[in-house]
Amino acid sequence: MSVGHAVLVARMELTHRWRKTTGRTSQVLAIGVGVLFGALMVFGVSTAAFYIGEGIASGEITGAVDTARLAAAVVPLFVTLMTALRVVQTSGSLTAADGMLTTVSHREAVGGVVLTELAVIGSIATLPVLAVSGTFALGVGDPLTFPFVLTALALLVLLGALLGFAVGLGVRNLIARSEWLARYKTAIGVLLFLLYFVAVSSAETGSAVLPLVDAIGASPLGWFADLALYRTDANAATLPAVGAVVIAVVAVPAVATLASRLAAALWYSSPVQPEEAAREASQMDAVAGVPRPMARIARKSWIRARRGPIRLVYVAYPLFLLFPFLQAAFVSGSVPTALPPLLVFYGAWASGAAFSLNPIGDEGPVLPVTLATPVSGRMFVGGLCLAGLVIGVPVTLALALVTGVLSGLGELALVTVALTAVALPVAAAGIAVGAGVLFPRMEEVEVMRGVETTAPSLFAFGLYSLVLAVTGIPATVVADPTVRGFAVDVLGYSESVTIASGLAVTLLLAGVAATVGYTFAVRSFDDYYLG
Amino acid sequence: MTSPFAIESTDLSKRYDDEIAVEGLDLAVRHGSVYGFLGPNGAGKTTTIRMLTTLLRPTGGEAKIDGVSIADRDAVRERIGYLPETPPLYPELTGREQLQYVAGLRDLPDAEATERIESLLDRFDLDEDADKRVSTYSKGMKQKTGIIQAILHRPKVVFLDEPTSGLDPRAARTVREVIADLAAEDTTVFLSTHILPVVDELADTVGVLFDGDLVAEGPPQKLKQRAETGDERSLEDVFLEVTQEADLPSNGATRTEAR
Ligand SMILES: Nc1ncnc2c1ncn2[C@@H]1O[C@H](COP(=O)(O)OP(=O)(O)O)[C@@H](O)[C@H]1O
Ligand SMILES: [Mg+2]
Repeated sequence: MSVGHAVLVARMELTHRWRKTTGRTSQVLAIGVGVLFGALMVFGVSTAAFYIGEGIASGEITGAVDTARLAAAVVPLFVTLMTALRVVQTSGSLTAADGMLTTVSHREAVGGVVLTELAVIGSIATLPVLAVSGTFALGVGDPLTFPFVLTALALLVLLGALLGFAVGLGVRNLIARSEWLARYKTAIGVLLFLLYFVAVSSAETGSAVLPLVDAIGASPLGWFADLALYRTDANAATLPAVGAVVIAVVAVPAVATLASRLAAALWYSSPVQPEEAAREASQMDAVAGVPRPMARIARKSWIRARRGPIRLVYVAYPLFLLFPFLQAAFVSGSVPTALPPLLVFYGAWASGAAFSLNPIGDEGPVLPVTLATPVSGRMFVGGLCLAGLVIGVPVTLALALVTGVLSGLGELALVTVALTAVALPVAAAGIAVGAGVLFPRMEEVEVMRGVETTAPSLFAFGLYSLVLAVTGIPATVVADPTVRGFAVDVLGYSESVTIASGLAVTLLLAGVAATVGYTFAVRSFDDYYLG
Repeated sequence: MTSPFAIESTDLSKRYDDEIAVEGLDLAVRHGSVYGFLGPNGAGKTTTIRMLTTLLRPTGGEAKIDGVSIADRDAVRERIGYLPETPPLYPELTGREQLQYVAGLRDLPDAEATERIESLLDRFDLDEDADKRVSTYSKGMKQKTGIIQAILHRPKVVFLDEPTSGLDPRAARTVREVIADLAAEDTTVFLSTHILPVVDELADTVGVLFDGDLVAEGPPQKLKQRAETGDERSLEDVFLEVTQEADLPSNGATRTEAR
């Protein structure tokens, strides 16, 4: 094994990633925001470290070692988790693995990948680790504190990173070996993400995690606290402090070897390919009463959505906004009157957003062929609208009626909601194709961490959501008893006239928006050139 | 519409901002012939094909496909088949679904489409894999599926951009045979490539594009004998000679000669 080769591999990999990242404005912006928040956090944590150091020196804070043991548990846990996540999602492999593995040994390659990851983590961790160690030593007023804290923190980060690497590679090995895992990995990932989301927003999570942190703090990992505070806190003992260094000296090479083994197992195995063997009967059937080109375009959209649902994950995002209302309904056992119109909005929004918000970009590499066939804009745009409406209208209508009845909406309001549940998705389809053609998104973007597809552009999302909201609001507000009461008071019309006029305005707006958007999209497609 | 040419262009040009991709291209390709469009990377082959298939608007000149101006997009699209450089496939669809989709875009009657798709899948040795997702295909299988979608509606003129790239020798031979068959059925084939033997074997006429200019054109045999001495050279020699202008002193002698 040559260290030089490993360094070379790491340098190439880093260069490659740097270029890939800085080549995209969105990524650069994200990094900028990250750096800004990171700087604020470093500032906050360092300030805290300074005052804690001062407190310990003045004897105001006692039992610092016990608290530091918890920190000694949290730091590597956090780094391990983050690294493992990165490794599972993207970075546990080389960019040009085939070529690389035939020119350097796998130890050198894995060395290179580990170095790459350490460099990335190092570039993130160095500043905070230095700052915290430094300000703490300043607060204590003893310069020799600095090397102790620094060593302890650096070793914890290093251990965490290596451990995370091994864990991540272990998970990838499982995925590579289990057909079941390989087939459902995106679904499992989405599920874990949702669980995480629920866990973070739930108050009970803290009490579940604390015992775990306590346990790790009581383990030899806690000895790093003794090392860090060796010169600061009289309670810090010599034996654990030395023990921490010994652990690091033993564990670092051991975990590195383990990671290397796991990497070799992963890279030289031929991963199971769930799709390889699978045969699927064609789903390109006709759709009754729909012209052939239009039907095929709708079918194509459905097949792609069913077999690659991750492409449409953005459609679920607004559900997070609806979450409190759904939760309230479940907890109280009664449906709030705001829910039916909100569901109508969401249903309409989703049926337009799913298939119609990026007509040109969604074609991907097929676009040149689509444009080289005589398929007309009416067929193409109509097929995309159809794909969303066939599913969106019945689902939205059913949701609206069920929740409308359950929430005890009056008859007139119920009719309003029902009519809106049909009109708004239709408007949504037209608005979506218009906005999507106006702001196409051609290149792939990250819709979730590590998952890249062509998602609609943010401008398309914005324009679409705005116009849809304006269209739907008149009918929606009059469906809600409170708002309606207010409107009746202000406008002085009777309740039914108020409802009817709200509905009429929405229907009118829906008709106009759908027609304008659809016509614009059809014309644009018919006149579309690649450059 | 009694033009003897399937593809005609006069002074066809395309510039991107300040870069000239294709300049003053004059083409005349007879019905039922195979035209080999040679040129190094970046010569302007793809740009030319995209203009002829109505995907790009020329910045100058004009062209006709089967007697129809490329400004009449619908009429041209009825007459052509097109294989782009990148296989035009959705990863989530199966090969068969992809072909049924394109047949549907062209509104081919179902019975006719099925018959064509099945016979072409068979011909290209893809029938075994037609029900697997495109995402599991090798590069060659994708390329073959792409070629089938370009010819399944029996177009009058077929444009193939680098049809043999990524194909194993066996598949490459199938492609050559299919091109020969197409020509025999009076289909015009316009194919771009930088793989010379393909053109040498198949093309009735070869055009060499360099920096947006047609620097040599003629039947492969004639091109090969064009040297002053009358010796037979390989097509590769011709290609290298006419496309090395940048390395020579700027008297342009080589270019004039080759034309
Ligand atoms: N969309 C574009 N914008 C700017 N320049 C382009 C674009 N597409 C192609 N070019 C340039 O036009 C020239 C010809 O490209 P292309 O037709 O792809 O060549 P070929 O297919 O022969 O490799 C190249 O110099 C290329 O950089
Ligand atoms: Mg090209």
